[in-house]
Amino acid sequence: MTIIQITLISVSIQILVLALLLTLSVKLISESERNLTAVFMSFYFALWLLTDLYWLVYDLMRPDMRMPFAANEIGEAAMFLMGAATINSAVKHRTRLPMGYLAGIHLFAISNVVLWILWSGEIVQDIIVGTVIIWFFYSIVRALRWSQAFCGREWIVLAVLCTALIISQGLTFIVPEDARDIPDLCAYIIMIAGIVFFAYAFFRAYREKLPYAQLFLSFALNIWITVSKYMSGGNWYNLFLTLETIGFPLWYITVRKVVKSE
Amino acid sequence: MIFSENILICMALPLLLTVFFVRDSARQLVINFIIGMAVCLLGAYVSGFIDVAFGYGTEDTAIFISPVVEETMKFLPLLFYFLMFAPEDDRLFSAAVGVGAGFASYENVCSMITSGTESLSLLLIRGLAVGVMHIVSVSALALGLMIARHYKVSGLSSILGALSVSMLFHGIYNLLASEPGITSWIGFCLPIITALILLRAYKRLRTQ
Repeated sequence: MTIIQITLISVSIQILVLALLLTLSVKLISESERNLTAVFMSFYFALWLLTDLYWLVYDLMRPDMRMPFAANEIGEAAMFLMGAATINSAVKHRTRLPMGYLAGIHLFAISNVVLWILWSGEIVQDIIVGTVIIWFFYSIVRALRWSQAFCGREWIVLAVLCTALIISQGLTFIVPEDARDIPDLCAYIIMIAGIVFFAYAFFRAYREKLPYAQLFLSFALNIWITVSKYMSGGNWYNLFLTLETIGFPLWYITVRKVVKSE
Repeated sequence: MIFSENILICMALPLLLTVFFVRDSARQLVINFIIGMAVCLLGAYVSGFIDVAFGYGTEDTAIFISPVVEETMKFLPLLFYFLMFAPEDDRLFSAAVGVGAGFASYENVCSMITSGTESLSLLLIRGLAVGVMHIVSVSALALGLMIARHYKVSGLSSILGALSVSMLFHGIYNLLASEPGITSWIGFCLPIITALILLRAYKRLRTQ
């Protein structure tokens, strides 16, 4: 089986999972007397589902042809905007982030956008999605701080992980062709380390029965996987795609827990 | 080549006259129907401009750009109505359906004149699919506006989210219907199935 065939199967599975979760989250809206977080989550799942479906249909109908600017680019931006809205609707007290956090978020997001542009050359699309990603990252970090999901040392670990990931990806453009595998491998190790880091924090919040921290950490974990997916190719892309699919039910379960507790 | 402006005038004139003879919700529906036809023509102008300015090509413009342009064009009168008149949910929904129906009808007429009217079965299926697709997508837009009003917070997110849902739905339909064969049949069935699911969900929500 070729890599693209595995990708197509993985996306199809993701679509089925999203369809199921969309149905459940729409049910959750009526069960929770139209809770805002449940409404936004349903929109989020619907957008993700349609974006995936668009990509799948395009790839099946026009294989080996680069997709021009289309509705799914706007859908992707709206998807992250809706993700941020889901998070913000669950945060009860909104505070401003200190400068250090703001600088970190902007640096990481802008570096990601620069890397996307260097890889794809789609300047306008990447800047549009990147602007929304900054807002998404900001919302997640603010929510994580509010729910006290991380202690001081863990924030430093996260900053180190993000910096190391950007540096190792950046190095792939600088080092000679024959040495490119080394920073590439380092980047993948950092991506996996990030997943382990967020998963550990999530299970700790689960043990300590902190529903809000669980919700925000599930979003942080999945967005880390999504960012890793955008940075990967071949089998690594498929691995992160599968992990992303596994992470979706986690969103639903944590949102349900918070909505029910409200 | 067709003279779409002439078609619009011929279709809109009897409807414009009707406006003076009907009242209340019937008048609102007729006005929205005419607005739907007008924005369809404007959308075609914008798509045509993008085709020429960016060199997309007629086919790619129809498949990839039209959903974005058309949904935005349908959304603008609804947004105007929503912001200026603050209508109740039911009136907003009726307005949305009127705009969608007018848009679909005018598009169908232009499409029939361009591609011929020999096959009744194909025309019926296409007409039904396009009609339902525009009504479903415009209903999503109305839903987004309703959510924005009811929850007050994150209004921009709900409006953009709803707009994107309708663009993606429209885009998938256009992509599927762009090639003959099994894909176009799936494309024609997609809006009808979605409409049936939405109707069922709507009924269930109302009974709760």
